[in-house]
Amino acid sequence: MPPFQLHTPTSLDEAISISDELISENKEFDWVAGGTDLLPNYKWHLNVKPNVISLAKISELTELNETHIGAMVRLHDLVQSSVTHPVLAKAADTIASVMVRRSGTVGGNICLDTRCYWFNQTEQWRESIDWCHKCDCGTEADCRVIPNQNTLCVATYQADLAPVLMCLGATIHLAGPNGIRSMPLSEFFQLDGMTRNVLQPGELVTHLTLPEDVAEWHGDYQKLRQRESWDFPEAGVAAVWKKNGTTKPTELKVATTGLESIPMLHTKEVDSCLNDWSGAESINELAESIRKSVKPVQNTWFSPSYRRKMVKVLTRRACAGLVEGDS
Amino acid sequence: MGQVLSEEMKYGRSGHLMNPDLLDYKIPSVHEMPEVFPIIVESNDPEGPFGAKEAGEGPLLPILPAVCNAVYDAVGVRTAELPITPERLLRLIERKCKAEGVDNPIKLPSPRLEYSELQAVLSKRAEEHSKRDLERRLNDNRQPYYNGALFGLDPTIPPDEVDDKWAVNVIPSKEYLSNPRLAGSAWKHTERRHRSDS
Repeated sequence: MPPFQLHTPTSLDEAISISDELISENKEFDWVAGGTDLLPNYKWHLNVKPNVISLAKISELTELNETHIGAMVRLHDLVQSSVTHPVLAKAADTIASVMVRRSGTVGGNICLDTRCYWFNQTEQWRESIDWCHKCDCGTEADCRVIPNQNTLCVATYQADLAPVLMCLGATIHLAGPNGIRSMPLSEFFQLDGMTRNVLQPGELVTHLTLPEDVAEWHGDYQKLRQRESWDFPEAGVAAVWKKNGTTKPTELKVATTGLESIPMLHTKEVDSCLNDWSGAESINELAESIRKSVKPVQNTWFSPSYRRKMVKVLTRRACAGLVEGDS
Repeated sequence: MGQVLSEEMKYGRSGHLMNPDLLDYKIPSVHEMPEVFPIIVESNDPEGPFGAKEAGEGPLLPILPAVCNAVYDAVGVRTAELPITPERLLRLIERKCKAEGVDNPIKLPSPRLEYSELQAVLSKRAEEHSKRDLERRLNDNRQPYYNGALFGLDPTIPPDEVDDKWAVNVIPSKEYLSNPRLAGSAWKHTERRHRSDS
C-alpha cells in the first residue's frame, strides 16, 4: 500500500476545515468512509492521493430513521434496521458479503468508484497495456474499451443502493467549504466514469432524506450476477410503485444500475407505459423499451448483449408485484 | 463445480488476462456450493508409498459430465464448451429455439434419452463384467491381489509372514553404511516388496 497521511476529524466542521486547508495548500486528498472500495484501489495504486480524511469518528453522520439515512450508516445496520424501507433493505442485503457490509457505508456505496476490466487491475498489469484513460499516470492514455478517444470514461457504476434511492425520490445532502447544498439523487450523478458525480473538491455526502410518504411505496429490486454470495451487480433494476386499490399504479418509477457510468432513472419509458396501461403487456413493453435505452459496454464479467437481454427479464421480475393481485 | 459452472480465464483483445483476481475469476463460495458428502473407501494400494492412494483430481472428473447431463435433462441443450455460464446457456437455448423454429423456449420439446450405437457395446461389456465379478466373488481360491489392490491380508501381521511372495530386506545397503549421517538410521530401514514375477 502506498503511504498516505491519515486525518481523523471527530466532527463535520473539523473535517471540512481540514479539507479546506488541504485545498488551500494545493494538496490532493480522498475521503474514506468504510474503506472497502478505496483501500483495495489504493493497494493497486489506482489514483492514489497523499492525504486521506477518514470519516469514521464523525458520529453525527450515523443517524438513521425512516426518512433520514446518514452517510456513515453501515450497510449491515441498514439491512438489519426495522426502520429501513423493505426495498432498500433488500437491495442493501445483496451488496457484497456480510463482512464487506459490516464495514461499508451508505455514502461510500453511493459514491462508489466506477469499475472496468481495464482499470481495476494491478499496477504491472495496467503498465503492460500502457495505462488507460481513468488512471493514465500522466500519459493521457486512450480509453481501452472505446479506443481512439480519451475524453470519456465508460467504466461501469456498480452500486446497488442508488437505483432504489432514486426510485424512492431521495434527496442527497452535501456539505463542503462553500456551504451545504442538496439535490435530488438523480441529479447527483454525472455521465462520466471519472468524475462520476457533482461533488466538488472538499465536498462530501452528509446524509440522504426520503420523502415523508415513503412507506406508501412498494416495489422490488432485482440484481444480475454470477454468484449469489458476493458479486457486483452486472445489471440491477429497481421498481417502486404506488397503488390505490386499482389495477393501474398511480405512480411507477424504474431505475437501473450496473449498465452505464451512472445509475439511470427511466422516467420517459415509464411515462409512456403508464399512459397506455394494460397490465402485464405494458410491463413487457416497458421492459423492452428499457432494454433499448441502456448501453452497456464490454468491461465486466457478462457480455453487453447478455446484460441487455437480462435487463428486460429483471424489469419484468421487478414489476411482477404490480400485476400479482389482478388475475 | 466451479470448473463446470463459472471459472473461466477471459482474455482481452490484446491477449491480456482480464480477470487475474479472485473477484473476477468466479470461484464458487460456500454459499454456492452444495453440501459435499465424502465416502471413504479404505484400500492398500501396492503402488503408492505406504499403501497410499491418490486423491484430489480423481473425484473431480465425474462432476463435469454430471452437471452437463443435469443441464441437458433440464433444458435439453448439450454444451461443447465449459464453463456453462448463464450467458452461454442462454445462447445455446436461443440457437436451439431458432433451429426448432419456436419463439418461446418453454415450447421446446422435452429432452429424450436416445442411445447411441455405442450403447449396445457398452451394455454387452457390462454384462460380461458383472458375470466375471460374480465368478470372482464366488471363487474360493481368492488371490491376495484383487483388481490390483491388496485385500484379504490382516494389517496387524507383517505381510511376509502370511505370504511367501513378500521379500523382506532388513540388511542395510552399502550406501547407508558409507554415509555417516545415514548409518545411524540404517537398521530401521525395513523394506517389504511383493514379488509378482516369482
